[in-house]
Amino acid sequence: MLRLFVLTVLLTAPVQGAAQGILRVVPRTELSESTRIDRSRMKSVPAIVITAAGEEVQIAYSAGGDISCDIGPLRADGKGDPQDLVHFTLPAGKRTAAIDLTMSPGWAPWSQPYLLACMEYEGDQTAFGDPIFVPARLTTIARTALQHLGKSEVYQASSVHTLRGYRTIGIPLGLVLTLCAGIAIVAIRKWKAANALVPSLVVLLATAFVYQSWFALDLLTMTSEHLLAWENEGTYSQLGSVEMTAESIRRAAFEAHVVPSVFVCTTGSDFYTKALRYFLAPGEVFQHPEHLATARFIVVHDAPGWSTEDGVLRCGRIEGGVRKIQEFPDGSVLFATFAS
Amino acid sequence: MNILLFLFVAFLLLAEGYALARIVIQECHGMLLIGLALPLGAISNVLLFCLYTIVGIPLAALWLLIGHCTILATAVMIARKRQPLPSPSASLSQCSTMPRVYRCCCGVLLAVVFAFSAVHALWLHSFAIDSFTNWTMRSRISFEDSAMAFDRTETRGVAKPQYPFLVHSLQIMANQGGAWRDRAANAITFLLSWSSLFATFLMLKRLRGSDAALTGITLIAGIPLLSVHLAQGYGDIHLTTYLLLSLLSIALYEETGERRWLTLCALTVLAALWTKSEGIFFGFLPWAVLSWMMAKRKGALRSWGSNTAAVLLCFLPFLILLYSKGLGFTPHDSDSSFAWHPEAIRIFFSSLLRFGSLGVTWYLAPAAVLLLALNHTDPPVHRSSFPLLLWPAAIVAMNAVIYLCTPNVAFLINGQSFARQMMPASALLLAALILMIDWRGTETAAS
Repeated sequence: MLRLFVLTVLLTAPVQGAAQGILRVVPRTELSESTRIDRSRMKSVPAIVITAAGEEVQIAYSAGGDISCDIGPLRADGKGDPQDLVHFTLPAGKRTAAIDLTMSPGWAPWSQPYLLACMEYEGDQTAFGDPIFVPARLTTIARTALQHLGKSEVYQASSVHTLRGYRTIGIPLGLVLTLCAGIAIVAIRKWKAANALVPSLVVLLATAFVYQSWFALDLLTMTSEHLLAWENEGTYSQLGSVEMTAESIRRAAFEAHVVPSVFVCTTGSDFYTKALRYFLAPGEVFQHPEHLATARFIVVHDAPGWSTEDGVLRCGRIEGGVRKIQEFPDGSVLFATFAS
Repeated sequence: MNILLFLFVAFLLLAEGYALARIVIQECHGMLLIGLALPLGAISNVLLFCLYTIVGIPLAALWLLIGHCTILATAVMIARKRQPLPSPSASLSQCSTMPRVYRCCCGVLLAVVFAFSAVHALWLHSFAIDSFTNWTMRSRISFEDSAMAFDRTETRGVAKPQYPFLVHSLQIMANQGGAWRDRAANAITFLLSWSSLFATFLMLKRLRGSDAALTGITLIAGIPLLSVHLAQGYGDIHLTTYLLLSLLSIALYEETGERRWLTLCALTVLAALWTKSEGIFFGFLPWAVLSWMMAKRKGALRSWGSNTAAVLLCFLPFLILLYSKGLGFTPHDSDSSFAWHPEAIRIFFSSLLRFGSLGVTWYLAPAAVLLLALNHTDPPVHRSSFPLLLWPAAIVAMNAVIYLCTPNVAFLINGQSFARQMMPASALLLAALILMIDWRGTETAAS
C-alpha cells in the first residue's frame, strides 16, 4: 500500500517549474517534425558539452531569433550519435527552457556527457547560461525504460558497419537478458544440483532466441518498409530514387549524343554521389564545383535553399543556366546544362 | 533473356563446383555436394580470372566460357575416375529429439532472415557505401574494361584495388552476355552466401545431428550484423561463411581422420584468402596451426604440408599480381606501424557488448563455454571439440592487435570496421560451441 501511495504521489506531483514561467520543451527524434525553421540558412552556435545526471535540463538563453537545437549523449569518439540526438526549436527572447532529456534514446539516469548543439540565424547573438539538471524521479526512470524498449533498430547505410543495439535507460538489452538468464541458471542449480548443465544451456539458448526474435521483428519491419517504399514511391531509404535518376541521365545523354557527365549539388555526404557514379559507370559524376564547367547535367539532391529563376539555377555556391529535365520521387531534380 | 543468361552462368559455376566437390569429398551424390558447389565453383572461377589477368586474356564472355568448359570437362573426367566413398550413416543426422514447436521457431527466424536477404539482394539495388567503391563498383569497372581494375586513383570511383577478387570475379562472371546488371551481381553473391550456409548446416548435421545443425544455423544467421550483411554488398559475409566451412571441415577431419576433409578445409581457407586480405590473419594462420596440431596427432603431417603448400601456391599469383601493379598488400600505409592504445580497451569491449551488431553472442557464448568447461566430465560435453575454440580465439586476438596496437584504432573508435571484423569470430565461436555439445547426450543428461 505504501508503495502504491508513493507511486501515486510521484505520478500526480506538479511538474517542477511549471509556475515559474519556464518554457517546457519536449524534443523529437525526427528533425522535420520538430523544426519550424529552415536550417540551411542558419549557422552553428558553439556546441556545449555538459556532464551531469537528470531527467531534464533547465537552461537560460537569449536569442535574437528562433534557434534550432540538437541534444543527446556523447559517444566515445566525442561525437553525438545521430540516433541518440533529439531536436527542438527555442523561440526568440530571453527565457529559461526546460528540455526533457528522456526523449533521447540514449538517455540514462546516471551522469553522462551531453552535447547541446544549436543553430541560429546570422547575427542573432545567441547566448546560454549555466544549465541546471533536474534529478530523475523513479517514475520517470520506469516510464522511460519501457519507452526505450519500444525503440527499433534503424537500417541505414552505416548499419553494415555497426548496429546501435537495443538499450533501455542506457543499459544494453543483451546485458538485461543475460542477467535474467544468470538468475534463472542460479535458481536451476540450487533446485537441481545434479545434471543442471543441460537446463542451464537451454536457458542460455532461450535467451539468445529472445534477442533474435526481437531483432527479427525489426528485420521484418525494414523489409516491408523498403519494399513498400520501392514499389509505391520508387525510393530506397537514404538513396531515394538514385537508380531512377541514373537511368534518366543515361537516356537523356543517349538522346543528346553526349557522355553522361554529372554534377551533384548536395549539402549531404558523398554517399549519394558515389551511388550515382556507380549506377552511371563509366559516366562521370562529380560533387566538387571545379568540375561544374564540364558537366552536361546537374542533379540537385538534398540541398535545401536551392532555386531556379528564369532558367538560372542557384544551389549552394554554384549558379548557372539550366533546363529542367525531370523531378524524382525523392525530391531530386535533374537539369541539363547549356553545354549539352 | 537477362534471367536466362544469369541462370546459365549460375548453372555452369554450380556444375563446375559440384564436380570439384565430388573430387574433394569423394562422394558421388548428396546434398552436401550441392551445398558446396558454388563455394568451390567460386574458387575455380577466381583462379581462372587470375590466370587470364596474368596472361592478359580479356575477361570477356567467350574466353570465360572456354575456360570454364575446360575446367568443367577436366573436373568431370577426374571425378568419374575416382572411387566414391560410401555415404555417411544417416542414423545420427536424421533423428530429431527437439519438440516441433522449437523447430518451427528456428524455421520462422531463419525465414525472416532469408526474406530480408532476398528482398534486399534480389529486389532492391545495391545500398552499402563500399559497394559503390571497393566491391560492386570495382566489379563493374572491371566488367566494362574486360580486365581486372587496379586503379591507382579513385577518379573512376574504384577504391582499394588491393583487395583479392573472388567476389568481384563472381559478379563479373554473373554479368556476362549483356550490359551490367546490378541485381545479377548481388544475386550471385546471395547464392554464394546461402549455399555456404546450407553447406554449414549439412556439415553440422553430419557432426552433431539435425537438432544441432538447426540450432547452429539459426544462431549464426541470426547474428544481427550477419543478417544485415546477407543483404549483400560487402566481402565480410563471404569471408565469414568460408571460415565457417573451414572450421567444420577441420572438425570433420578431427572426428573421422579422413584426409578429404583436410583438403576441403585447405580449399575453403584458400577461398577466404581470395575473398579478403583478412583471410591471412583470420583464416590461413589459425588454420595452419590448428591443422598442424591435428595432423601431427594423426600422423598426417605430409598431407598437411602438401595442403599448406598448395594453398600458398594458389594465392601467390595474387601477391605477384599486386607487386607487378605496384600496389601494396593493404590500402592503409599505416597498418604496419605499431603503437599501444590502452585508451581503446574500454571501447573494444563496449563495441562487443554495448552495441547491437553482434547481438548477445559475446554475453552468452562465453558463459556457455564456461559452463561446458566447468562441467567437462558431464555426458553432453564433447571434450575433443574444445581445441576448435582456438580458431575464434585467434581471430579475437588478431583483432585486438589490429585495433589496439595499430592506427586502425580509429576504425574501432568511429565504429567503421571493428564489428564487421568480429563477425567471423562470432560465427566461429557459435559453431565451435555447438560442436562442444554432444547432442545425442543431451536427452540422457537431462533426464
